[in-house]
Amino acid sequence: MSSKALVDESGNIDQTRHYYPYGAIRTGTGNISDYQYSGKELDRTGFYYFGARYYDPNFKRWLSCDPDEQGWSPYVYCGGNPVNMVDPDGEFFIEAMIIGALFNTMMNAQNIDNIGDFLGYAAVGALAGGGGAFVGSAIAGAISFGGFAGGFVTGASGGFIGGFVGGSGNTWMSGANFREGLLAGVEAGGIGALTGGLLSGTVAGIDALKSNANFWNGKVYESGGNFGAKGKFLDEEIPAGHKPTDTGEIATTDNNPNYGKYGYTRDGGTRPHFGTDYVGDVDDNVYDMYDGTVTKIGLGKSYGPESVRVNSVLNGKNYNVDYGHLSKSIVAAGDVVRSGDLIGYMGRYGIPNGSPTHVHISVWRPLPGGYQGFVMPWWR
Amino acid sequence: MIKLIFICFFILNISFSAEQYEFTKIYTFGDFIVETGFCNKHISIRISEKSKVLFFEDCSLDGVYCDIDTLFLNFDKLPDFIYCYNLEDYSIIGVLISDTIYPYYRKVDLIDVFSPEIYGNINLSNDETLKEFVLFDINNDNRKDIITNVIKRGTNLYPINPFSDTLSYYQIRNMVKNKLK
Repeated sequence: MSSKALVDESGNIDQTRHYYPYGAIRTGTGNISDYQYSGKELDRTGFYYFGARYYDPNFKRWLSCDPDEQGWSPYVYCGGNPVNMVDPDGEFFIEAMIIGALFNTMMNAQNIDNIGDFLGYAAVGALAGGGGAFVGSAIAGAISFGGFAGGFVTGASGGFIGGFVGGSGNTWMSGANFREGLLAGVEAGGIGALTGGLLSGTVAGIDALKSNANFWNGKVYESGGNFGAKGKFLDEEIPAGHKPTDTGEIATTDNNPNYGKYGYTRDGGTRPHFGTDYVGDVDDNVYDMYDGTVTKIGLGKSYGPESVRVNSVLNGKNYNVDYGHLSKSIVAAGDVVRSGDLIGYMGRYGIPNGSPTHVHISVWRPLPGGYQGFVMPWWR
Repeated sequence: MIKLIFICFFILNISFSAEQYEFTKIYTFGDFIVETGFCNKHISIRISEKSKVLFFEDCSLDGVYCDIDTLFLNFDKLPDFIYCYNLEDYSIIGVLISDTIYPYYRKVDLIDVFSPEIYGNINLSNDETLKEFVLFDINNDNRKDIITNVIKRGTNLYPINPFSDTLSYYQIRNMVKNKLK
């Protein structure tokens, strides 16, 4: 269970968090507790500690391989379906198999006469549970839509496999021939697909609505509480860029370890940070993250007259990559830059007195309807 | 002698622990003066009467105050003020609403607006100013409303699409009421 609000002894709300399905912070206020998404501890590195391994909510991936090497990719969180599934310790499929085994032996208790029957029904249940979870997660990871449609497809595919394996396996265990078992499997698979699809679709749709997203396809329409022109976080992935500073460290403050992170709010406000702040000292090197063309120098009074905008094509889409607060830029509009090129030096234009020196980097593209769509910059 | 040392120590202690205010901009509204500037690690704002009666002082926000104007919202004897401050790629517009009891003003952030300088394609000429907000009676009800993100040239106002929007006087009052609940 993810922590959404924390209150003090008087009932006053000290901390709020609203999450995207994979755990990235959508909006939030306060910084009282590190125990947040899925009730897990948010480490100072920005990763959640799940016991067996660390999880990065922004990249939606585990940082290390599944110790049990389950699933179509051992790095995918909850088999790519975090709306319908939970992973309390990083070992999701084992639990699906255990639950399947227990459930099937309970449901067929009247047919169990000896240890062989018990083990057989347990094996069928484990295969049905694990197989359903495996296929459901593989489908969920392969589709690009969510909401009711995504939940339905995921639930139906997992339900069919689970139902088919369970139905045919249990029928064969009861002594039926191959054809009878197969027919029973198809029938149970159909029922499993329908019930799993409807149930999973409805849950995913309701969850999408709760996240201010479209019920049917889970598309997020998030403004960040703005007025006039609006910003929203795009569910788009961009490739890793070059490290923008020598250290690549994200800015923190004594009061706020999430100060420079993408998607977090500051100072108890409701507005999320639409970029990432990489910390350093005045005149530290700032490197271009992605190949592109410099389109503008000077991005208003907050970013300062030396701030740089580079237009880059990433995964086939045009993005603006803004480097704010520079003390000096060494590129000019029209210059072609390569990932890793030195483009300027860190400065303090527009940075409040008490805030750390940093370069603010945002990756965005204009969208219809006056929206600015943002994605998280990252480097490897 | 011991008393003198205590007094000196006390005075030194007070002078070192006090907030260091530095005001860089002064707005005058009749008898009232609003000063904005910096203080320690934050930005400061102070409201006083010309006779030097201090009504409100705050040193808690980050950013840079960009503008102040006045608007009577609750009809007590003190004027209310609309403020804005810039922070990275956006500005916050809010209200300093007067109160009958100390500290006499309460700060209420209303809305945040994207910077058209960063996300828009505007090029200001020398006689143009970008205003994060202006007060103007847009619906002819004899009450000033807020228009956000406009270019001011002389007395003319030019909205910047899609960065401009409006907040009517009554919307402002309702937002303040709801936020103070």
